[in-house]
Amino acid sequence: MKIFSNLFRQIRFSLYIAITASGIIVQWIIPLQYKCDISNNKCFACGLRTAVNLLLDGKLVEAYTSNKLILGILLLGIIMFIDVLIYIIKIARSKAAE
Amino acid sequence: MFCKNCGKEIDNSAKFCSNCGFNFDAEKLVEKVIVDKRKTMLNAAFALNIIALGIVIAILLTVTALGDLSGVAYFFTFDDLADLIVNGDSRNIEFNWDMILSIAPLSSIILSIATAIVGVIAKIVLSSNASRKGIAYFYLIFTFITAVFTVIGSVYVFPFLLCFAGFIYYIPAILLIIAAVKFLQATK
Repeated sequence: MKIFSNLFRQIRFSLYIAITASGIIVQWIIPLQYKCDISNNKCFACGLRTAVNLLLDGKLVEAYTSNKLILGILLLGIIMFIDVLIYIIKIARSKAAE
Repeated sequence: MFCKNCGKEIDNSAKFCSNCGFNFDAEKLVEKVIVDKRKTMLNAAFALNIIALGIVIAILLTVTALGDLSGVAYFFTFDDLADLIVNGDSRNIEFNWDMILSIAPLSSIILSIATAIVGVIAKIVLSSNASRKGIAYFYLIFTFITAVFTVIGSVYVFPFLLCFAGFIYYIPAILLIIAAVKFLQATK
């Protein structure tokens, strides 16, 4: 059971790393941005980058107005943060017990 | 048997060394923990590989389902590949930069499947003998090539998602790299 829980945690944390790293690449590193004019189709990501920037500036309402999907990203971020925090606390406690 | 700590000969069923008090059960427990940790790492690496493969196929199948929504005029398909193998260069494909890019989506699917197969082999080999680092390094190199093709392939077939939504292109590539690192960590 413990092996399964460790396996699940490793997969979960790897996904967190992949999602966070991908977000950082797209938000700040990749030079290619905003090519929506290729298809003239609106996609769910329109305004999401702006929304992330606004969220990081602490402007929650403006971020929500820019793209409502920011709530999903915010929720994902909170879940990831709490999950990692719980793990760090557990590790710290077990080390303190030793 | 002989005590690993002091070298004195002791009974095979002994739990402690009569000379230095070395605990054999504790040592076995530590060994079991290490083996379990390694097994978990191998399983996690393999699972990440499969997740990455799933994402690659999902992205490219979505593109196929959406047809020419991406605005790409030419997409090198499995039919093209079959034609090329069976009939030679029947479609008079010009080998230029555009053609090389058009191979990328198909290559990323083939390479992802191949990476999963190499992942299975690496998992089997490392499960039986954890000291074989060669297979882990081979997987790392193979994975790196697949990761590059995955990003190029996704960007080529779905260029209009080069905004924030394009982050999905990088997830399988990064997952594959993490899987490779885990395979390396699982070696002795």
